[in-house]
Amino acid sequence: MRLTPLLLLKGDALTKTEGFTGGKYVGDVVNTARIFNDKQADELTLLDIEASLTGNSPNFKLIEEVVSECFLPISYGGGVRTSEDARRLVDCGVDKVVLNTALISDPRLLGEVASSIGASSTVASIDVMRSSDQYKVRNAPDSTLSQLLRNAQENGAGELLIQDVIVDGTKSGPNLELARYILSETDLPVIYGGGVSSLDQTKDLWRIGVGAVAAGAWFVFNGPHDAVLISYPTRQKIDMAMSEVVSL
Amino acid sequence: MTKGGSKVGVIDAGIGTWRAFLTILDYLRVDAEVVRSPESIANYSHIVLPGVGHFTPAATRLEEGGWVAPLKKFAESGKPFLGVCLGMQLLGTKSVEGPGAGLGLIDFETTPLSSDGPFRVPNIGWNRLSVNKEHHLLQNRAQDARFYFSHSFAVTEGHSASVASTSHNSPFSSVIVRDNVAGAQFHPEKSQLHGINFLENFVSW
Repeated sequence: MRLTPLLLLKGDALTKTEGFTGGKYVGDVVNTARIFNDKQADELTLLDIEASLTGNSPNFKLIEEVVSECFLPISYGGGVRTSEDARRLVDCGVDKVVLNTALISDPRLLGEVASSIGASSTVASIDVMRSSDQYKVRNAPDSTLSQLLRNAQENGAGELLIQDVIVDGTKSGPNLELARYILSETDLPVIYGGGVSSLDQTKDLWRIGVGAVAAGAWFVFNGPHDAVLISYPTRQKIDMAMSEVVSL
Repeated sequence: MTKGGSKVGVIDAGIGTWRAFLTILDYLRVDAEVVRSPESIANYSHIVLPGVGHFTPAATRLEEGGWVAPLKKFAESGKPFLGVCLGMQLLGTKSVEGPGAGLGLIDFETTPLSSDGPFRVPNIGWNRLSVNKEHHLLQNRAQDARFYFSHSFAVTEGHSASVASTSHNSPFSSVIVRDNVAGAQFHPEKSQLHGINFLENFVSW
């Protein structure tokens, strides 16, 4: 049971989207990483949301700086196009490499990356939205969610990161139905992100078997006007939440 | 600045991530370096062998890079030697994950984690240790000490050299020690204060 801040990188600054669009400035990524390290976050997930659009490679230098601030696990995704990119990220100290766009644009890459850096270091990331009565995958009109889930498992991903596009940034609560569906369609550990804004909601996800809960807006905004404030529950509160889930 | 004259070498054989170890050892004010040439291993007072990925290509890299004999010799010298994650698995003889020979410094075989239970595989996340035998490496640990694991294979619990076990559906050995050779299945370099404490113990071993 993990709780991971999900940070979005645009250029060399952090941003926060809503519904996977827009972008409100959050702050400097290195400083923010340091704060989460001080707060003993379980792990950090850093996703560059521009890299696959601009065609840029991961910003290795910046990533190295972020890693040097943290004695905790870091996942990175964004612009990973080759297994050399993945290897290089691991050399920079990244623990898990996240593939999203490449799952669709270059389906062989997942297997190559997993063979190169290991399954437990490879995360397949899929952004999901509900459309009429079914789930659709963002930027993948020709693939179904269950196809991508199956591909991910068969090609050696160690973990899945599933984000609900519609509740992204809303703090309106997680899509438990989506989480349940994903858990039933795969044997892999699942990281769920989208709409999570409290430890109670986190417990709901942990209870049904989600391995890690990812949240963005919850940890970077505060108050009715969404002022930027970096926060993370205390270790004590998280341990209590975990013991409540286990004791049921 | 050195702590009692130690000089820690962190192996870069292309099989694991050395960088985070240097960051932590630097933070602990320990003299530490990345080691890229097998011949220079003997110069260090402590050696760390990190490892991430698949057993077979890693075993091949150690072989082809000329690391095997120097690492065995270092182990024989009695100086502290720590294998981390895949690095721990490489201390053994072989792995079910794939062909290839481990260093054979401790007599064990690495096997798949059990998926017979509520927990999914790979085991990715924070777990506690159940200490079977107190050891210098585990001293001063916090009551609620937890460590970060990220693996699909492990050494089954029950080995005589195992000093701590962790459960993931079934118990496996999380720390194994034979004389001066130790293996940690978790990542001390990613385990915050608990990992820092573990590495501090390793340096003072």
